[in-house]
Amino acid sequence: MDSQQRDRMLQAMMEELADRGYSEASVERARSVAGVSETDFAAEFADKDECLFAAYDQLTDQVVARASAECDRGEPWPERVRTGLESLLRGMAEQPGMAMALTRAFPGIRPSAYERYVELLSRFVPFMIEGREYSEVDEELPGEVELLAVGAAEAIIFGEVDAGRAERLPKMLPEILFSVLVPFMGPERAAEEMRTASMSI
Amino acid sequence: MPKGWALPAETERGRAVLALVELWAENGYAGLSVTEIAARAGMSRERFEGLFDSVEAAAVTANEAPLAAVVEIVADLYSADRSEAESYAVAVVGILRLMTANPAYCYLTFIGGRQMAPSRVHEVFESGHQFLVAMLERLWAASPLSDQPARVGVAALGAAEAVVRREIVAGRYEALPALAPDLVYGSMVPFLGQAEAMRLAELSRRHLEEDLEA
Amino acid sequence: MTLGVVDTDVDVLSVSDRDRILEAMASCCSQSGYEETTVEAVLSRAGVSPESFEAHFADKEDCALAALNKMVSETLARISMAQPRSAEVSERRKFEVQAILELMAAQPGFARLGFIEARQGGTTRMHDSYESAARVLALMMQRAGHMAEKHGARAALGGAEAVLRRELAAGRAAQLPGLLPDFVYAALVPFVGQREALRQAKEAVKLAAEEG
Repeated sequence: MDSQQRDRMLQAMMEELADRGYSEASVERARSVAGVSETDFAAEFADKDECLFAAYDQLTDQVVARASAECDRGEPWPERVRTGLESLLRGMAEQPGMAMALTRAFPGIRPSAYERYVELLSRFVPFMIEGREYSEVDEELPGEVELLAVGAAEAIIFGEVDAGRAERLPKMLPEILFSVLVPFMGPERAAEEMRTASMSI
Repeated sequence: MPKGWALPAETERGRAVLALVELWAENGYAGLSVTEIAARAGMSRERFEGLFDSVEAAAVTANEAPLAAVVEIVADLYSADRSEAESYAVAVVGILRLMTANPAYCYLTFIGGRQMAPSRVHEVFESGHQFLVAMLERLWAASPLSDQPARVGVAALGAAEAVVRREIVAGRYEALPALAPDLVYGSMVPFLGQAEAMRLAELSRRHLEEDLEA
Repeated sequence: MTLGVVDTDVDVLSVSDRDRILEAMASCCSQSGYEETTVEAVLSRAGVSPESFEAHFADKEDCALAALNKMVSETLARISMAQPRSAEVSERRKFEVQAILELMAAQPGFARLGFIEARQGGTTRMHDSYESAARVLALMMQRAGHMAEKHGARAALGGAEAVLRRELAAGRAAQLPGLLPDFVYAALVPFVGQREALRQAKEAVKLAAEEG
């Protein structure tokens, strides 16, 4: 299987999961959509699970890449966070089925699948470290502040995807931005950033 | 420390629900079966079926037990002797201790009910969760801002939950109480600002240490 | 610094758009019922824009559920903060019941929404939310009363609920605190028996008279 075929196979398998849930997700149907033979599949993947886990890894790689792609290194950190969030939210709104697969269908399979979801959130932590420079207090901020910020965004995003309202996410950028920035810079500064962001929506 | 658990394993119902919750945390929801749950609980299939109409019905009860315990902790630790914000900071320590003492229920509360459950069970979880968000949003009364950003309560609680989830997925239940200061800071900073949130984080850390010495 | 939970004037607390919307939802529902209430009516009463509503709530049901949660969380905070922590169980029960009744008398709109609309005339999610809350409360009561039996607690609550609904439906929310002995009796009788429950009910009346 060449890399393009592999990508198609993974994409098709994730779509099967998104459309039908784990137990009904069919390798045969996904293979057919991707144009992959049974032999080629068997050579690459031991079973449905191995394919699904690889598909999730591909999807999460894409999510993280998308969020960091459009960030201009020159811009101040809060701007980069905004740009990254904007990109992420647009992606979710454009593909609500994938958003559901990302946040419910795959993590819900079993605890080992759920671990991947937790790892996904941890991948955003490095992007948050610079936020500490914006603190308005002298004392060092608590150790978990980066993951707290990621978790704040996750909670709002998860809530909308879960309720079938992923298409609303781009409009919610200002309030999500507020909650991500607030542990670093406090509510007044975070509210300023929120207001700036709402002017360009 | 709570005086006990809302669904003690000394009762049959408690044992049955605990068995379900343990298996849920070990293998996920889809694999749950009456046979396996009953075996884990040390009772016959018939006995389980006498206690609960279905696995789903038992799962609904399972979601309600931790909520009852958390509400009790709030009722115990909120006090007229301290401000509501300080009571909250102390209650966070209590809740984390509860979670450490009940790891299977902890998994259910932060992960199972949220992302590993069918719709009906998930809705029960969601309704309990929204209540906890409402408790947190009461801190809005002390905010320096003139208007409340949307979903700030959801995000503030979610911030703390993300940290807890990382720990429990790694099996580090005993590490939870020590995270109280981070969780207090993260959930309160949107309402009270950095300085006050830091002060309350420190208060929760002192409460954690004092209690250990006691 | 306290947040003035127990003593602050209700109007002062409702400073945010979100709070205004929730208050308005509760009043509109208590006047016209949940089904007949429109988002337009809520907005008009709250004096907020449709954009503001949409920013905070997905739809009417979402808003009504948030209003219910607000009432319950306020109740829990009040009853927890109003009583001395040293008091023993039946003492605390009396305080709790009194605080709840006073809150409902002060906020009849929310009270109606919670006890009447959520059960009849509300959506399935609202009914489920109500029933779930009642089960959680029953779990807590059963533990506090050292009862392993679930049904006693739920039934005791059912009795109190019926009285509450009758009074709220008749527009007598302001008179609820006067029914303190009835509620204390209902809350305690499954756990301590009739004689003790009656005694506690009388004590509660005396306490209320001393404070008043």
